[in-house]
Amino acid sequence: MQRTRWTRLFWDRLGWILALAAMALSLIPLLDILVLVGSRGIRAMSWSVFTQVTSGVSGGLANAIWGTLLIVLVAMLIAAPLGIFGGVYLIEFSPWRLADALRRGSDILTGVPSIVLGYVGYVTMVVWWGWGFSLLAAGITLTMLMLPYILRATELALGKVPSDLRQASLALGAGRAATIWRISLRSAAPGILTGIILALSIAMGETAPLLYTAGWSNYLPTAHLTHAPVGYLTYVVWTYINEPFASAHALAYAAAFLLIFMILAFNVLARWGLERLDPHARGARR
Amino acid sequence: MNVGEAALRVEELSISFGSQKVLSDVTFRVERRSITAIVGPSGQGKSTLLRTFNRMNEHLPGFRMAGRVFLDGEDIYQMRDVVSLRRRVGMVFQRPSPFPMSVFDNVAFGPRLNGVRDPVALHRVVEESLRRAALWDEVDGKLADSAVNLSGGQQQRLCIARALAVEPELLLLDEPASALDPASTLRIEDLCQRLKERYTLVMVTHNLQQAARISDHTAVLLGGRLVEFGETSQVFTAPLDPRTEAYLTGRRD
Repeated sequence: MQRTRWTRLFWDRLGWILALAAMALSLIPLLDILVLVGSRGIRAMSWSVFTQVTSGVSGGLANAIWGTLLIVLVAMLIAAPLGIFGGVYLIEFSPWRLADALRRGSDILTGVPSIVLGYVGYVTMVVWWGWGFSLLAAGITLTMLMLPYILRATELALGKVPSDLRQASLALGAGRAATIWRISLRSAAPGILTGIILALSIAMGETAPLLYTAGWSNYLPTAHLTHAPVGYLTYVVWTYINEPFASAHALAYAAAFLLIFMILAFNVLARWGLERLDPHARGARR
Repeated sequence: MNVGEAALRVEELSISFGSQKVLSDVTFRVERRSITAIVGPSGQGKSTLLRTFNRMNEHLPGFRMAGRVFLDGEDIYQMRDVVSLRRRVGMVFQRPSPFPMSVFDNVAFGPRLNGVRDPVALHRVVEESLRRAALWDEVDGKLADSAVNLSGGQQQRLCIARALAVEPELLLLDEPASALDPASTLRIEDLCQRLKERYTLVMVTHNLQQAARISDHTAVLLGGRLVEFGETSQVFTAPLDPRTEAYLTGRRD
């Protein structure tokens, strides 16, 4: 009796300790990144980072900040509608076999290393279609990366919309399109938005596909979709950290800090925006 | 409206899904401005029968039917436009299903589908419908609040208001109180009594006391067959079919 009690206590404690240790081990790298990048990044921050373009291994990051924002914007403008309509199609319209094939294809796309997507973009758009390193080539390459996430998130969120709501809408005389548009998509909006933000965050942190498609530019992005290389933040992180100059290191840390900050800001802004636009979505999430 | 014509007339209705027969040869009529209860054990085709009246079964795979259903003398399965039928036949479901939007937008959903855009007219319809559903006093001044935050009983009355807002002739209720507490259930029952002054109600319930309390006519469905149909008092006190009596008294044979 006594022994079983102690044995139980022992295993109980051991379980706790292991769980705590696992949590600490997984949190340490995260904290390390945040502290290192945060402290060095903030020290490297100055107005010139935002106002000047890079020149050699010093200057600012204006070209890369705008470049990253533009590439991601182009990618999102293509990926979000495609992903959302694709998700609607999968849930509402497609015959079972076709939906399954699409789902598998999308899963495979998630598993393709991003550098392979970059190479595909390079071979087709940059070389074959002759666009050169450009905003559009980079945006479409990131679209391939983002699409599966948005598609899956849309599908999952739509699947979770209670069938009661759809039935109620149909029973009120709403057609199928009105039901999808006004009820299903609206109820699924928070889930879809989460998927878009996740895809956006992943795309924003990508380097490899952009090396192949965006190239690099020391100048501010222009209005040209093709035939004009674009600068972006991950390039600075990747390249400048290997340079033997303090100014280059400072820029790399500033770029890394800005990336983390921008991803965080997108998350917060998107959630805040959603609750402002649609205060009832909050209740629906419960 | 055809004078003398029943609000709803069901003739030799049979329904199956795939190879499974759900309803066999059901015939009855529903009088205007009355409450008809459809009772029977679970899984005997009550909801299927109800969903026949606004053609909601058509969305389910393997649906086949024979027989005819007339709404105010008009064969609803000959109607080309399902949407206009559903605007004449409102439906309230078992679980309250408020849309994730404001109380106002919930009730205005149907009228807006019908093209009502004028804010004054919309507001009038919303207030009128909420009053008829006995919810107005509780949500007055809170029309912009989320409908999801209402209590279960309030949500169900909101769903009734939402159905009433399109001015239906017939209101179908699929166990409208089975997910509610006793107090909310009584409110819904009171509400049904008042609604029958204007509307025709058909209600599915597995609560026999409820059927006895509020309905004028009762239909008993057993094994997909209509074994008894008549005035509620007669069905409950002097059923014609021995199977009805067995069911009502809880006897199994």
